[in-house]
Amino acid sequence: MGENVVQIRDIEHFHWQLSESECPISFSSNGGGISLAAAVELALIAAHRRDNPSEPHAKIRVARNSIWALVKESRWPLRSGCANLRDGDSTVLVLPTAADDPWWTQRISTLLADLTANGFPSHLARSLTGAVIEMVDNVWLHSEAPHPGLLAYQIRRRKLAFSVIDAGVGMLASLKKNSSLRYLSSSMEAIGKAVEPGVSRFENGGGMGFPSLFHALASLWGTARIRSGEAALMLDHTGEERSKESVYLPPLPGVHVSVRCALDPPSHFRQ
Amino acid sequence: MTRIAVRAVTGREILAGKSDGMRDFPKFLDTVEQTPPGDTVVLDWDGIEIATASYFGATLVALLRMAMAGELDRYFIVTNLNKTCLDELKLVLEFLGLVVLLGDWKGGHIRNVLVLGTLESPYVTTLEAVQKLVCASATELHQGKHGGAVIGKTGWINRLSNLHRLRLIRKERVGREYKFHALS
Repeated sequence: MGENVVQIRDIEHFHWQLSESECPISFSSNGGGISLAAAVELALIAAHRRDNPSEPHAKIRVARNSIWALVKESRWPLRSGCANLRDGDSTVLVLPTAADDPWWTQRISTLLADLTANGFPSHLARSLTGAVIEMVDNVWLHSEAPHPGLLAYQIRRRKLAFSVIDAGVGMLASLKKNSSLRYLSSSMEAIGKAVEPGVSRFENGGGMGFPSLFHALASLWGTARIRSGEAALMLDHTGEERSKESVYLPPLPGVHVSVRCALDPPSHFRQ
Repeated sequence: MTRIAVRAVTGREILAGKSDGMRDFPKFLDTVEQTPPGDTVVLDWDGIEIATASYFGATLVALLRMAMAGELDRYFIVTNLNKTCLDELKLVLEFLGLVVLLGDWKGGHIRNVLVLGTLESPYVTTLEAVQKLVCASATELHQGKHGGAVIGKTGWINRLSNLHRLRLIRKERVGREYKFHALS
């Protein structure tokens, strides 16, 4: 197996717990599935590294998982908007290029309805939907990407996972546009700063997206991961104590925010 | 007092993100500017499913800042926010150190007025005193020893002036002194 191949049997750990010492350029499957976050991040890597636009995912050899199949089928980032692919509890949306799109408004209403139908109390369903929109809005406001972003989500009974990704300039380059943040010198610093309230590339306000996300997640169990450049910040609320961990990783273009949350504690915690 | 239905102004029930806020701010401003100067504007969020902190930051907070800066002579009260919207509004107000009044809209009047955001207790006491009296001057509050506070007249003047700066009470010159009025 070449240097650029990552076994995906542990992709969940790869993305959520371990050191993430490598980014997969291609990957092989031993029959296991991949997480939503992994599928979406692979899509970004594939999009960034593709050398044949007509075959954007040529370097990805295995697509057994339905999520990955949906991500592939979306042909992101080659098209924008109106790509709404669903398979069971998984949905992949290629974002339109701007917020003011009736198609997008409809998709958001569907997400809200799906959350409510899957056991989320209405105020939490609204908070989570708002948080998803905030993360997507960051793509429109800050990514400067030539291609639209991607939103993928899975809703199961009392559980939600979602990923928002773009292939833009990344958090460091974006925040440095604010003259008061020019001192930032690494993606690690940039992510740490970006999650603070009121921090934005805009000098006249903004920066309330991540506070909204954290507020929505405050009463839920789960994890959030914010990835940009050579860094990732992971917030873990799957145990009694909340924890925060930063890791250095190989460079990744753009920004990837992934969240998994549930109304009920994880099984290991309940035992 | 003029009630403005946010649902009618925006034409939407989901208002989230700075982009939506920047799109809608001119609509808010245009509608508010159609009310008389000095008016109390009740922003009614009935029918709004989601409004996020960023959205409020680009719309309501921008209006509040204009009013505080003297660029927009209006007073604002918000009403009919669901729990999600209320939490998001509190998030941005507390971060920015701003306040706005929240009340129940019933029969063309606002009742049960509360302060949203962080307001220090001396100001809360002063605001409650003005609301109780409906209209009061610093002299009256000083003589009435409201809220059990033992402070001088200058202290009352400072508190009332600051509440007016925050657009929580209105100010009117009567003879040689100012009278301060509750908004509701």
